[in-house]
Amino acid sequence: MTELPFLSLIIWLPVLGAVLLLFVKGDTAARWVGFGVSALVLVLFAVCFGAFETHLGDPQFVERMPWIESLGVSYHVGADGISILLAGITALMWPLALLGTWTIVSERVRAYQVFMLLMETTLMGVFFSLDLFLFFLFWEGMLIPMYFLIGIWGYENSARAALKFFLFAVFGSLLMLAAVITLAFLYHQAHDVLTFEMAALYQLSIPPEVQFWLALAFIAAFAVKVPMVPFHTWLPDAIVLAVVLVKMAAYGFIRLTLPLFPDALAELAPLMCAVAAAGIVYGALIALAQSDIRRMIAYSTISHAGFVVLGVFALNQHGIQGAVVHIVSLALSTGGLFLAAMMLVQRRNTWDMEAYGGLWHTIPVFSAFLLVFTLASVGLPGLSSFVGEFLILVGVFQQHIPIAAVAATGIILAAVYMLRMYRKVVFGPLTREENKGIRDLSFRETAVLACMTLFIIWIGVYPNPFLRTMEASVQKLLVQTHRLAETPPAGMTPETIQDMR
Amino acid sequence: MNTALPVINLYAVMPQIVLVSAATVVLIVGLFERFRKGIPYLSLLLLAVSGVVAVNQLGLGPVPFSDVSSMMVMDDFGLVATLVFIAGAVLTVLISISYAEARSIDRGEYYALLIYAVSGMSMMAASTDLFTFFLGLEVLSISLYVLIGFEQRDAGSNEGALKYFLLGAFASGFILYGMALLYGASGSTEYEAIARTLGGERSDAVNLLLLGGLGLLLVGIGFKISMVPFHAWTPDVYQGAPTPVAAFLSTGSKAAAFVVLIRLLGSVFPGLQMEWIPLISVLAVLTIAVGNVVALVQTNLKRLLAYSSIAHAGYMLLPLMADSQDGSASIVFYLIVYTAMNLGAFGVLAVLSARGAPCATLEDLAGLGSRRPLLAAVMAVVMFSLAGIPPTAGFMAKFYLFSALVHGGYVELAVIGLLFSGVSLYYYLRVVVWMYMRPAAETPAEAAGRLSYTGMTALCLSALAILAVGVFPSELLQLAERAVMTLP
Amino acid sequence: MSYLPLILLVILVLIVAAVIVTLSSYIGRKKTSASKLASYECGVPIKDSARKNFSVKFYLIAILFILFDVEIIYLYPWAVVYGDLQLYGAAAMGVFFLLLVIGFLYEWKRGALEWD
Repeated sequence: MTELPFLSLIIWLPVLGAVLLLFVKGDTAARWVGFGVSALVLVLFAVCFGAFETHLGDPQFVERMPWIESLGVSYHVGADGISILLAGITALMWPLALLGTWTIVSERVRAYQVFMLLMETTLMGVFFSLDLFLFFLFWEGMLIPMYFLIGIWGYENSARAALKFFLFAVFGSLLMLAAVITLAFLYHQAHDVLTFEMAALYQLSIPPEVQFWLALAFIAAFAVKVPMVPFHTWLPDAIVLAVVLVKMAAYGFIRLTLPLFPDALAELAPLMCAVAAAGIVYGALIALAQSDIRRMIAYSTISHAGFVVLGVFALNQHGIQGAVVHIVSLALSTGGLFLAAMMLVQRRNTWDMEAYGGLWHTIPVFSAFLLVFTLASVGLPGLSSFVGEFLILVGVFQQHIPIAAVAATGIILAAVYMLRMYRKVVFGPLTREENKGIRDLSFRETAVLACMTLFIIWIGVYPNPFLRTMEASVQKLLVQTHRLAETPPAGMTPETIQDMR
Repeated sequence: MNTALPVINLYAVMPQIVLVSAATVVLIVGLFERFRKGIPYLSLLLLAVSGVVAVNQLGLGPVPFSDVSSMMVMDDFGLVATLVFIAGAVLTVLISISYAEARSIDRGEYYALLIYAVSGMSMMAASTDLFTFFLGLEVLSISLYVLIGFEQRDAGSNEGALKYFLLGAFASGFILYGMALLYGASGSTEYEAIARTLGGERSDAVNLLLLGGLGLLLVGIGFKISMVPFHAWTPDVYQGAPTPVAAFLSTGSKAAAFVVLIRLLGSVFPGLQMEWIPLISVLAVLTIAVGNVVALVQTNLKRLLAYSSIAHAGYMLLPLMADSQDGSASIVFYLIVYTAMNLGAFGVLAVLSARGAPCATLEDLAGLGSRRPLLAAVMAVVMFSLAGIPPTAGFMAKFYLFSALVHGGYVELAVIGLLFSGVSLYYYLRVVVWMYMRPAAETPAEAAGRLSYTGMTALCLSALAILAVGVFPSELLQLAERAVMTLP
Repeated sequence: MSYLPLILLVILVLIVAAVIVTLSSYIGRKKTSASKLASYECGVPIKDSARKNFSVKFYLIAILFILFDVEIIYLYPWAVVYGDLQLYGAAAMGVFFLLLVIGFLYEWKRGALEWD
């Protein structure tokens, strides 16, 4: 099975699809091509996932060939437990998102499909790159499709939002680029070889004060995209892609910041945790004050992103595993919430919560799904977010008890603002005439939301397969992060979680 | 009396000879009205021939022009530069065809002067003597003075030509005076002899002469590459000049001056590094800052591109400090990529302006994404490349440039340069915003009719090249590295 | 002593000039007019408005004249050492003249030599 270049296929198939789309006429055909290609990627990924050996911490399905030899850059891809999970949720979400926006996107459909597919490529590339240069290439390249997606198909003020997002993101990335070049330079000084191999750069011993600045540069790049307070201001304008970005940026933290700069982290990790906790509370408080559904979801994402960062910088097995699970669950719950909201807005054309009310009576199927996503976002046990948030909090409690306590209030606040939104939209009397004739979900929409619900419940009830997949990789990462000779204390096994529940 | 005749190696200057002959042939053929339509294609053919000649000489190692005083040398550095100039000229001719026809400036002289300019640039690139450098510079400059003012009935074109002429004459004066001082210090105009004087023991007086000479040369060359504070002419001239000429001006003449700068600073003036490195680094940062910041508020596209080209000149100055083969190679690579990008950007404007109303401001681009999808896509690729976003060649060029800088130990300068290139995103993306995210107010005049095939071919070629180099830069990188290998 | 011929030449020139000026002032016929009595006489009024238009054609002719005139200068040193240069010299000057002729043909065909 492993002879096929699986990862390259997964990465480059969407590009092929995008090229194919250039020759397709008609909106419906374009939709089918986009959906078909992303579905094909999902199938390929499923095969790949089936062949993945969970007990190995090293990258698998590795492909490597020289690319730009004079710069020491090679095309080097591979998947370990962490990247395969994140790539998996991407592969799953893409056909669902395309299916979910089938009729929502009615302008320039072909271009939409092209950019969505290009973005899938860059995302997969980011997750599978084992060469820092390649990583950066995908990381930056992603901005182009993203910029167009926000700018053309975003909501009001979208051109400005796209620009704002792009500038924020690029400033972070440029700092990272300087750090990447410096890293390669330091390696060149030490070993007289020019390379961007992540595995090689991990072994580099850098003076702590240099590490500090390099780490800051990397953190700047990722913090903008996570988005962490205070780099979050682009998000409420460009919520469409927030979920995707959280995934990428958190992956960047895990894959690069942790193992590259262990010494600097001793100083920076508590700080990052504190900022993340502040972000959780800040995002939640602002979300509480919103009456616009989209902005509320945006601020709730800021709050959730804080949890992810918190877990990563707890620097232990629980925290990181929790962070990864939380990213996956965020994609499902927040993604689902947003998709559902978009379906509603397509019918009624307003994001204002006050314009709804009493929907339970007219569109029960929709309301039921919205309930699932709302509760998942709140972190109800049995649904996906609970597992992530719980593991993160366990991880942080081992390190910084006050910070964990602050972060925990975020969960309570989440319950308040989410349920408030749900009450306003769905419950109450059906007072407005416009809401009476509203259509319930079509079969296509139901299928998309049902699929996401299925995964939300699966992760919530039985997260073992997910945790086991990344366990070995996370342990290996922690060995590197703490520069330990021996393996860290055995982390939380899936069994212990079951017990706690 | 018996004169010892120098042994002359005409083969060493074959590309320049072919270019000059080509231009002359075009000039003569252009006299006959009945060949009018064929002139651009004849120019393309002759440019291609000179390109083939240059390619054939690649890798044959440094061959001096004569045994007595070398004057010019045939080496990979000069040849690669010549090839870049020729490629730039080919693209310029392609985008000129419809533009020149629409404005009735499609005369033989237009294309002949273009090729004369290339021959001058090529001479500059191959020169190893201040004389030949100056000769090439003047051939280039005089051709450009005329080309900029070629639209005789257009006030802007005249204004641009006059400004460029006056300031260019001043710049030439500075360069000549600098040369005189250098000659006074070393007793020779050959690069090698000047370098020898610099390498040996030198008195304070000689030192002063050398410094003064270098300073004056830098002023003159700084004018050509529009380095701050000698940049003020750039926006006016670009705006006034016929658009294809502005494209050529922003790529070719700038590239030629850079090539000379690499040769001079790398092989003649390393002895004065302590003096010029701080100077150039300050000026480079200023150039980047002024170019990028002023570009933010431009609404006229040509002025925007002018300021962007000032900023790019600043980036290209940076690796001179690194004083390494990597640094020089990164400049050469950047120049190649920059030529493709800028010609693409101006080319889009030229092709659009050829149809009726000129395409001058950002507003004119509104709705281009749906009106002219292919053209808008080319422009978007070019803009992302100028901004340095992967997977375009612009990113690779910036990456290579800044890594050479970091390897030379100038991390701070790299960070400053990168941050300003972040600033530049704002104005490049504004172009994209106008094309794709703003609907057109009314249907502009150019909406009807097809665009010129030749222009579109050139634009698609450069866009494809930008993408291809962005993904597979190896070959071009090796070429750039090989080019600088022959430098002493 | 080698400068003797030169000194003789200078003296001779001075004598000839003095003789001519003296003779003409004595035996020449005089018909004076205002412009003839002006200190410098060349057919154009010496005191006139500075903002006077000349036909642009004068400039063109002047420029072309100077171009060809200056190029003739190259011929003198070339002729002096022609014996040493031999074929090489002939070829080089041939190329030079070819370019001159092309330039001449160009301006002829473009109509630069037509007065009207």
